[in-house]
Amino acid sequence: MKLRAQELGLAYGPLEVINDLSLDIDAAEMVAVIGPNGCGKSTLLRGLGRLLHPRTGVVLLDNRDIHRTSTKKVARTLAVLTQSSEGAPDLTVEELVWRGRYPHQTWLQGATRRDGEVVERSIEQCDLRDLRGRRLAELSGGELQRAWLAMALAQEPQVLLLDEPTSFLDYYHQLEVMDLLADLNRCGLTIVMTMHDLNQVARYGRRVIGLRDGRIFRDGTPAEVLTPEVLRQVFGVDAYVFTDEATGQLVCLPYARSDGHVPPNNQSSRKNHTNHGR
Amino acid sequence: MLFDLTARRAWMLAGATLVLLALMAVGVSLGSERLSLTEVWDGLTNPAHTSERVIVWDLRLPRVLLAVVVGANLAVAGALLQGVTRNPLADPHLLGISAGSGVVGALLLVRGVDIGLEAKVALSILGGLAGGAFIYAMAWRGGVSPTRLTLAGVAVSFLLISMTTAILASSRLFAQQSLNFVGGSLFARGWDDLRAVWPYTVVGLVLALGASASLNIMALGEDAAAELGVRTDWVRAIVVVLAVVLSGAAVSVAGLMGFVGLIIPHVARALVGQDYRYVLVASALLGAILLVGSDTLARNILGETELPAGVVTAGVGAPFFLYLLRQVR
Repeated sequence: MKLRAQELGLAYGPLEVINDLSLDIDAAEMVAVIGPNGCGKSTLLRGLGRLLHPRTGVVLLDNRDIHRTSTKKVARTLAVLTQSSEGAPDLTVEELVWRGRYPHQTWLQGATRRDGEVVERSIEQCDLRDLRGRRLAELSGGELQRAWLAMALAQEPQVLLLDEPTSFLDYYHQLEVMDLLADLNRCGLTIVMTMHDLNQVARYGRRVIGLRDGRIFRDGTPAEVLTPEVLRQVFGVDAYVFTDEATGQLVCLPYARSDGHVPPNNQSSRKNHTNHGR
Repeated sequence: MLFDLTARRAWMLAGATLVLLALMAVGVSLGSERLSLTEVWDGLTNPAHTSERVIVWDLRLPRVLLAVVVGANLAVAGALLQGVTRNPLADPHLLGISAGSGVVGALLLVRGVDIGLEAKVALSILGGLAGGAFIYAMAWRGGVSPTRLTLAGVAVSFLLISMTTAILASSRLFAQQSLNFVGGSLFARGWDDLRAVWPYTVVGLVLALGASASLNIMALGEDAAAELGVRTDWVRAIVVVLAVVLSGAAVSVAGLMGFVGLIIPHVARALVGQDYRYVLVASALLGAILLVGSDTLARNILGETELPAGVVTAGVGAPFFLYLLRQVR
C-alpha cells in the first residue's frame, strides 16, 4: 500500500512547520526520518497519519485522499504511534491491545473470534504474555512502549507510522523493538519512523530522509544520507562516519558543534580528525 | 481473568439492581406516616381510595421513581463528561453543564410563571444547551481540547451559579424554597414531574450507550483515539449535548443537586472496571441508589421539616467516597 504526500503544507495556527513537501513511500519500505529538534519530523508524521489536517496539499493512502476516506476505514490499514501515550493508566495491557480492534468492530457485532486471535498474536509478537494482566500505570517505559505497539499491531495495519519508537528505552529493549519492526517490515509492513539515534538509523533504516526547516534536505540510502556533509548541514554537528569492521555497520560519531564550539576534551584532536570520515 | 471480570460485572449489576429495588420499597414505606410492607403492597395494588393508596400511590411512589430518574441522569451525565474530558473531577455542576439550566430554573421559580411542566423541562434543557454552547465557544481554538473545555466550564459554572444565587436572593421567595433549589431537593414532586422528565432519561441513556464504544477509545487520549478512527470532536460535541440534556432534565425537577455526577462514576468504575458500556449502566443504577437513599433520609431525618436531599447526598456520599479512595489501590 502506497503512502504519498503531495505539496503538503502543515501548520499549527500561524506557525508553518512543513512547506510544500512531496514524498512517495512504496509498499514494504522502511523509512527513517531524521532531523534536529523542531525540524518538523513529528509534525510530518502527524500529517501523514491524518492526525493533523493539511494546510495545503494532500496525503494519499492507496491513491485516496486520507481526509476524504472514513477515518475508521483508514485505521484498518494505517496505524500511528505518537509519543503521547498519556491515557488510561487503569487499563490492563490486554484491554489496551483489544482497543486496537476498534476499527474492525461495529456497534452491533462486537468482538469476534478473529479479533481474539489477532489480539493474542499481537501480545505474542510484542512479548507481553507475562504482562497481559498488568495495569499500564505499573509498566516501565519499555513495557509501555511494547504495549502500545501491540495495540497498533492489533489494527492489522499495512502502514505503520512511529514517532521515536525507541526513545526512553534501554539498549536491550531498543534493539528488541527495532528487531521486531525489522521483522514486521520483512513480512510486508510499510514502516515510517522518526528517529534520533543515527546509528540505529544506519542499522535499521533502508531509506533515510533528512529533514531541515520543514523541507526534505536529503532522501536516500543510509550511506547516501549519513555523511559528514549532510550531518553538518542538517544537524549542525561535525561527525566522524565510518564503517565498523567487526559488524560492518555504519557508525556516526558526532564530536563537535559546527559553529566552532568544541567540547574541552576534544580540542587537541580535532584538527587531525576533521573529515577523517569514511 | 476475562471470565472473572465478566462474572464480577454481572454480579455487581444484579446486586445493584436488588439494592435499588429494596431501597425503593423502604423509601415508599418511610415517611411521616410509617407503613408496613404489606400496607405498601396494598397501596400499590388496591385501587380503592384508602389513605394508604393516597400516601403510597399519589405521594411517595412518584417521588421515589423521580429520585431514580434524577439520580440516574446526573450519574450518567457525570460519567459521560469524565469520559470526554478525561478529567476525574468532571461533573455536570463543576463543568457548568447544568448551570444554564439553573439560571432558567431560578427565573421560573422567582417569576412564578406557570408554563406547564413539559415546557419547563424543555426550557431548562435549552438553558443548559445555551450554557454549554457558551462554554464551547469560549474553549474553541480550531477544535476543543479537554483541558480548555474543563477550564472554560469551571469559569462559566461559577458565573452562572452566582447569577442563579443573585436571582434567588433578590426575590421574595422563602429561604426554604431557595435552599431547596440551590441544594437540590425533590420536595413536593409528583407524577406530572415524572411524566415530563422520564423520556429524556430513556433516550439519553440509550444514546449514551451508543457512544460507549467511542468513549472507551477516547479514554486512551486524543491522538490514540484519532488514530484508531474516532472523530473526537464530533463524539465530544454529541456526548456533551447528551450530558446537558440529562442534567438539564434533572435540574428542572430537582434543582442543583450536586455530587451525584462527581462520585458515582468513580464508584461504578471501582465495581465494574473501565469499559464504558458497563460503567454507564452501573452509574445509572448507583446514582439512583444514592438519590433514593438520600431523599428518603432527607424526608425522615428531621421529623417535621425536610432537608434538601442534595445535602444528604454529599453528607453520605463524601465519606463513602473517601473510604473508597483509601480502599482501592
